[in-house]
Amino acid sequence: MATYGMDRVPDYLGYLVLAEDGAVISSGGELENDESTANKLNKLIHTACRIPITPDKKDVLRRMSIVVDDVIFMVTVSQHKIFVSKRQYNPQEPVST
Amino acid sequence: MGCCFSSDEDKDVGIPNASERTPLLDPGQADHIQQIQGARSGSTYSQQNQKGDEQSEFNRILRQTAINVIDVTSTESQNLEQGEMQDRATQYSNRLNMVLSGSGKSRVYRPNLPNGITSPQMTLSAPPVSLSDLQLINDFSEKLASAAREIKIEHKESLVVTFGV
Repeated sequence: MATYGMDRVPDYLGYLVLAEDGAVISSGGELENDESTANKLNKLIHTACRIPITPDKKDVLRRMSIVVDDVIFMVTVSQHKIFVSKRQYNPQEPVST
Repeated sequence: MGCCFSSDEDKDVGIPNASERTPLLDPGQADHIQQIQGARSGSTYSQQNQKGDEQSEFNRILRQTAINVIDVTSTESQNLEQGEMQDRATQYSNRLNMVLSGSGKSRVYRPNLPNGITSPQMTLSAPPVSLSDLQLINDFSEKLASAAREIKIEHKESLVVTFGV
């Protein structure tokens, strides 16, 4: 199964590649065969894609980030596929407040 | 019901002493033996004829079954005309949409994802969103949520107004 180079992402914990209808094309790491997470993220990204970022609709969604405690899910869309990467959340700057 | 039986009778003409218990497929072996015996005795004509009728009957049933079965593994159908196939396809999709819309699940499948970006690996490998950004977003969404909760409609004028009386 092709990993689409998703396991080379820094702080990688797991990845998912989904078809447009939410079917899992490829998966690995902690997200291997995790269909329930895939379904939730699929719904989220479909909703996010409909949100206009600028009024003239020139800018489109590039990446959606979901932070849960010390884990971050990053979702992006490319070639009508949904790419999900689960990473350890290591913010690069200290908390300012 | 009578008319249903009348069409059934035509089938059994080839078998002289056919009853409702005469199996359609079983006598294949028995016929074989009969045929061999018949060949020995020499009076085979009527049996051959009967066998031919049964053969054509089997073929007819096979053909009918093949027409009724949708073979999903073969892409082209041997029995359907191209036009008829498209007619059926549109009919099926119409029915499907009708059922989908009737069952409350009006979400007919439509791909609505944009083309997106060209290199997902690069985008996903980029450094994650900073904590200060995250805090900013959380603050704003909290403020917006509380503002939305605070919205109240104040009634000032009556909705029904009388003109010129």
